[in-house]
Amino acid sequence: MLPFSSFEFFIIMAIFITIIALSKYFLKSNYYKHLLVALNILFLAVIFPKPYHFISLILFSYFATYIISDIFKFKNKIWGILILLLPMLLVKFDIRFDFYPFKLNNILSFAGLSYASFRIIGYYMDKAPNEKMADFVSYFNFLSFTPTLLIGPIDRFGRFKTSQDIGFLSINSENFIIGWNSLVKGIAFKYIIAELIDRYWMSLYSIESKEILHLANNMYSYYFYLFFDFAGYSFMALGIGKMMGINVPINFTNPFVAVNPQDFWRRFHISLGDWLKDYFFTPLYMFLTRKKSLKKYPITRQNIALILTFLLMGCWNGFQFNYILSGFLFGLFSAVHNTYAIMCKKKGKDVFFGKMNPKIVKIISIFIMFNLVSIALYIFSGKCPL
Amino acid sequence: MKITNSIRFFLNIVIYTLIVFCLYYLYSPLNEHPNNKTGSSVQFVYQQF
Repeated sequence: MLPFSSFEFFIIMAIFITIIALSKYFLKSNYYKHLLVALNILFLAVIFPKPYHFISLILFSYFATYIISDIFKFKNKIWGILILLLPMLLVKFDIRFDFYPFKLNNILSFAGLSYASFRIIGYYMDKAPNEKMADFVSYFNFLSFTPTLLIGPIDRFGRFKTSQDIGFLSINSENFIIGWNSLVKGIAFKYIIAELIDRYWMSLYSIESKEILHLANNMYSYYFYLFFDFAGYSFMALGIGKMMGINVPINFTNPFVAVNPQDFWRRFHISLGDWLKDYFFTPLYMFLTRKKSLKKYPITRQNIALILTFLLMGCWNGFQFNYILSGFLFGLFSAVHNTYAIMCKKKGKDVFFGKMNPKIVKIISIFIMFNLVSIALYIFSGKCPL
Repeated sequence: MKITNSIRFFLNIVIYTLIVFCLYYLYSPLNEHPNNKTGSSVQFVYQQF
């Protein structure tokens, strides 16, 4: 059974929360992480499909990170990243090493691989050259924490460890109520609103229809559906995490009112946006800054880095035309906005809206952004018939 | 308007009742909609592999 895929999952989580809450009275605070690892292993081994595959990935990444960073001490982290990403790359590129009786791709492909790979890279990038490897129990918990196992949010090891170290102290009625409210919000978003949109709005017209009104209906309904579905999942993960004593980062804060692409990625799938900014955009921008040919063109450097970052995001979803095109579009929106923002700053005035009332500018910006995102996400969905 | 504890309590009852009603309406075996199942995010994850 996959997380959040059935009612039984919530029963199992209720049992886990009860065990942790009761253990507070019997165990010392420093045993919290051991209890958590026992519950995570129990879920993986008994309930999760392909348990050994996930556990093998954790073991591989832990020892590979140790060998790369502590024994070989690679100065250029790109080699380390490629080694750690190897399982995901083999699956995404569909590279097959099938030799009887082994079918490598069947072993490597399992739900949650992409998110686990992002967390693995995050840990490797954050680890300072002379820093000691994290203890295996914390590392295991970080990658296999049940509520965030499947679709994130993409947590950072430092934040997770801080939360884990507080241990049983964070198990109290106040946090339980915060977690419960978040869980209920997530249930309402995912199982009610997203489901209502799916059944009664998205299916109004055929996805093959090319009539403009039908296209608009399908496009807007998909944006709302995706938001409520994904945000619902994230709120449920946050709520259950909080009740189990782990602070899971917030992943969505009303993206419909975003005024520009930068603002949008601070509201939509925040953890992925932050991850890409910290581990891809910034190093890439620094690399481009060192290039002599681009030294005189700072705006071009930024725009190249932005477009490549979003292309990577598209590729991460899969090497399919719709994912790559939607990634490129998001990159293009960001590059255009970046150029516009720099021009406004240089000229000391708004080069597009002039002296228009800021409230009207905000409304127009929200309208433009909403439509651009709807188009890009509709392409992402693979349902666009054009 | 200041939301007092009693109003908040009443609002909570309304919201929870609504949620329970909607869940029952959507997922009850009596609802014969062809999509009477969920797991859409999960399906998206499966699509990737």
